[in-house]
Amino acid sequence: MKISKIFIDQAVSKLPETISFISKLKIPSSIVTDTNQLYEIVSHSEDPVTTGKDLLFLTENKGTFLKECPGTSHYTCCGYKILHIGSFCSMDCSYCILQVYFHPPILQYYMNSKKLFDELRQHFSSKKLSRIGTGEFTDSLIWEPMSDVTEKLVVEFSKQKAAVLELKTKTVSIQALSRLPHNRKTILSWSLNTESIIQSEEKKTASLSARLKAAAECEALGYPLAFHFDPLIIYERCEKDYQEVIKKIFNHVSPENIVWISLGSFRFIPSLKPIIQKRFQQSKIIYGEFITGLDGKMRYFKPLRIQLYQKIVSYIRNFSPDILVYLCMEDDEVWKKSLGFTPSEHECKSLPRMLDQKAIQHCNLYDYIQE
Amino acid sequence: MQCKIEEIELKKIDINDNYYKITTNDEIDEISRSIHEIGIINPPVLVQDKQKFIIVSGFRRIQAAVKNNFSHIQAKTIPYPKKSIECAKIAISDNSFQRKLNLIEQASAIKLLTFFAATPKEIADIASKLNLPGNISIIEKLAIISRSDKIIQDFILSDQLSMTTALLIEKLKEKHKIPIARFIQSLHVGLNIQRELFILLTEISFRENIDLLELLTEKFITDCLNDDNPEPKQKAVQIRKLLRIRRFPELSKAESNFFNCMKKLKLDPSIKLNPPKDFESTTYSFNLFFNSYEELLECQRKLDTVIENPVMKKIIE
Ligand code: SF4
Repeated sequence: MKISKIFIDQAVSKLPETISFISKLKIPSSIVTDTNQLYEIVSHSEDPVTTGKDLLFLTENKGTFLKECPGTSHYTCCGYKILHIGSFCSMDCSYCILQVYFHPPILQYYMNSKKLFDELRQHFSSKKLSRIGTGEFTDSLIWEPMSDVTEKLVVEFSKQKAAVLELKTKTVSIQALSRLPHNRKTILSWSLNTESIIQSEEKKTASLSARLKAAAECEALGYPLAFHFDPLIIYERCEKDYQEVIKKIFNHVSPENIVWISLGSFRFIPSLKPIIQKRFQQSKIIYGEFITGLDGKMRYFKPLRIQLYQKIVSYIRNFSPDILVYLCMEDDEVWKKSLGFTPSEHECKSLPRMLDQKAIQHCNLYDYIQE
Repeated sequence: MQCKIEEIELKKIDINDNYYKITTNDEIDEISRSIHEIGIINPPVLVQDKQKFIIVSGFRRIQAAVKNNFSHIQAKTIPYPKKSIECAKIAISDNSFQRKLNLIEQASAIKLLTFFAATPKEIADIASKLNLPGNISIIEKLAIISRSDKIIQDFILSDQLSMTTALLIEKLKEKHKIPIARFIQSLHVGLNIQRELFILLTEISFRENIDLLELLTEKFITDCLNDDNPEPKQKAVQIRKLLRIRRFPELSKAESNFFNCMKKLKLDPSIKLNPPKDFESTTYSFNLFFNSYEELLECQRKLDTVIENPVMKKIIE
């Protein structure tokens, strides 16, 4: 993580977690009494997104750590729960929604982890079958090795049998995972894209081969794996490139250890377009054939999405007919035409249940209440 | 305002120095006639620059005096440095409190203030006291327009180019600005179409790695532009259609398929079939138009025929 200054919320400045965190970064830090001043530095800068990635604010989460995934209207959501450990990201993908999600966009990490674990233990005591991830508002592993929260999470999840933790990343920061008892309750997942998209659109992320090598190492450590093709980007010869990525996945890891693979085509809220135009002037990804979706987001024209999904599903099926491949935020028509069935036609009757079933199988969940 | 009223020799006034000029109106015939009849009622304001005088306000009055071969005029001289915020305020308020300034005049006024105020906030504070827009974002836009080429400013003045489109044009490379501005203004279309044409052209050019000037001279555009028959607005419709096909080929194909099917359906005017927007949802709808119960029954009968037509099934599936 490359940042130039750390700001510390007075409320967390004396916590041992904070002291340990800053001791590992060796970067100038100062205590903030008025958060608004910090927010103003970011929002009044020439490029708030870049400024927000350059500063780190260690603070407390005053709300709840465990949240329902916001999903989107009119399209099928996976029913995942978010563990909100921090916000924003030190890597810099052109398409990243987080650039317009936070006001102002600023790298924040929550130090009041005691509250996080209290909430989590309370959730575990309900024995609700759940899939919980830390990679929605940030990348799950950019906080390694300054924070030990991820390590503690892996251990905490290993002690129960009703929930799985999904760590979603574009990094290869897996060093700490090797020494942990995980009991297969943590799924390591990587967002993948073609070599050319990684190179042109995913600044500061690990290369495709590094990600897959890390996945193979995690498999060797006994962790279940998952992969996310999100966002799929349409460009000339993209199908061939995605086929290459799929080949590489199966050259590195075995299909039996993959819990799921998700596919989601590039979609964005309209306010992201000027940000990409300004911050990534060479990027062409916003000039595809986009229409306004039913949720107000820009999406590729439906037949184009279906065509790409069909191809990618067939490539995956060539290697393994059994892996659960699911679509992110798509409607029944797209499901039917891409995968041959809709979630309600599946024996599990819904996408969340389909994913639950795979989590049960791969992560040995057996003491749970399914809602 | 501290000033002296003096009799000034016209040749001592530098009539080519437009530093404080706000007005875009260079028409002097009327004012010239009036000065010829009754002289200058409201003396111009001048500031001394060594042996000469610079005009702060009253550009047209002085031009009219020159036209009338006056040797001297009565003027107010002010004791400020030749380039000062005090003079700028006088130059602006002499115009802005007398009439509503047009966009280019507002832009010139803001440009003048930028020489003396460091931040947009400071400019906004001064501007709002001078009867100019005090909103920072508008001020920033006016400052951009104030730097535009005269050709673009003239298009804005004559309402042939909207300020929004002009601001978009200002983001282009220098060599593209005037050709794009000329192209858009030649089509005589409103703001929304101007904006859409601009976006279509620039996105096609960027996506396909074609220089904008090359795109503007492609046959499909030049054929439309050179066609003697249609009105500019019809040319705009045609060019927009062709650009849309180029920018959204698959969507355009789907739209054209739908309309071909519609033609085959031969719908009665009392029935309208609406496709889902951009074919994203799967919901089609019908509108039925009727004025009486009998007409409704007639619509029902026609609708039944439409539903039974295999083309209808093809459309939905
Ligand atoms: S890695 Fe994920 S969170 Fe980080 S910038 Fe890229 S898309 Fe955003």
